Amino acid sequence: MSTGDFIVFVVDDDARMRESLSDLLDSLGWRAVALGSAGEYISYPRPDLPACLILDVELPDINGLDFQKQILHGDHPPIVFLTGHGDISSSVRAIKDGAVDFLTKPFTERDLVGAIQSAVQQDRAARQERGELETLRERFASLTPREREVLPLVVSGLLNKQAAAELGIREVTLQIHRGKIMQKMEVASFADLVRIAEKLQIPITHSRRSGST
Amino acid sequence: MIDIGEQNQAETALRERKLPLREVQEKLVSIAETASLSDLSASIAHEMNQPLAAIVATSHACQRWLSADPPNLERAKITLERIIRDANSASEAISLIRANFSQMDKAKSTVDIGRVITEVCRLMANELGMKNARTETDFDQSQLQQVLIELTRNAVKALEARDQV
Repeated sequence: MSTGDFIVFVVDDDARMRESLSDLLDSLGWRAVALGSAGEYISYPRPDLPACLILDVELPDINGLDFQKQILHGDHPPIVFLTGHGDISSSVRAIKDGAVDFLTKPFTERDLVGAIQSAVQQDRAARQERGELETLRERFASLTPREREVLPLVVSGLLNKQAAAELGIREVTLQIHRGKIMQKMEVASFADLVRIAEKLQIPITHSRRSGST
Repeated sequence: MIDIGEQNQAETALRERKLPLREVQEKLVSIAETASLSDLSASIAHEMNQPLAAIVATSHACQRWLSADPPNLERAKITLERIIRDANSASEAISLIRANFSQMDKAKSTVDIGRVITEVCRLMANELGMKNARTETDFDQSQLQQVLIELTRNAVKALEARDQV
């Protein structure tokens, strides 16, 4: 992992723990932000970077596992839990809710570093996915209302003449729309357009089945 | 955790008079002590995990500063100082626990009941003051016995109430 292109948040109420983790992350050349409570983390302005959240289970303002539940659907980095006394039910709960790892203090450096690396990797992939989807949505938004009518019909598998008949337009006109859509969605092949339509969750409303062979 | 089996065995032995009473009593006491010891060791472990985790993490940081090219001696020194500080505070915590232990082991000695009572009155003065209660410490042996009897009765009642829940 290259330096500086991700950030590690440490949330622990023990000042010694915050200091030692900051030292360790610093010596690895990683960027760390250490905070004393869940509230401090929430109000911290997070930069637009891949990240990892190292969360102590026993926080002063809230139980770490409850906090995980609270931020589950928000835009938060993957969590690595730390605990002074790990029990099986807590760790199962944490992992079920998507935590990357659940480490018991004192943990080994290897476990911690490994957990952070996979958390950051996971966040990077998720962010890329979100970014791509955002681009696709923007492209889709650039389509005209008519083109947005044509898209579901053609990706449903209708022949051009069937789709044209569906909209009451000429086949030549439909072909022009289809060409424009391919251009605006920046796809090289029709197969790509179908794949993208699926990502954008464009409903498949028609079937070629009733059409001619 | 109390070894119920062992305790039952001791009680059975007591009933059957196979063991001298004194020996059985000593055994029961030692079982009770082990119970609090296991609780104690769990809490010591919890107390120690935090500084140990910090020490381990900081040591790794120190190692990295030293093996950097060129070595970052300034940072290595700072981390080393933190390791010493955390290790010292952990050993202080251990000494504190040990001191509490040795207090438990202190030999039995005679106490002046009058002084004990005066000390209790002093400790309770605040609480009693809030209730506008007055304390009197002029009593004879039978009155003191009465107090102890009342205390014991309260304890029995508390036990009965707990069993009913």
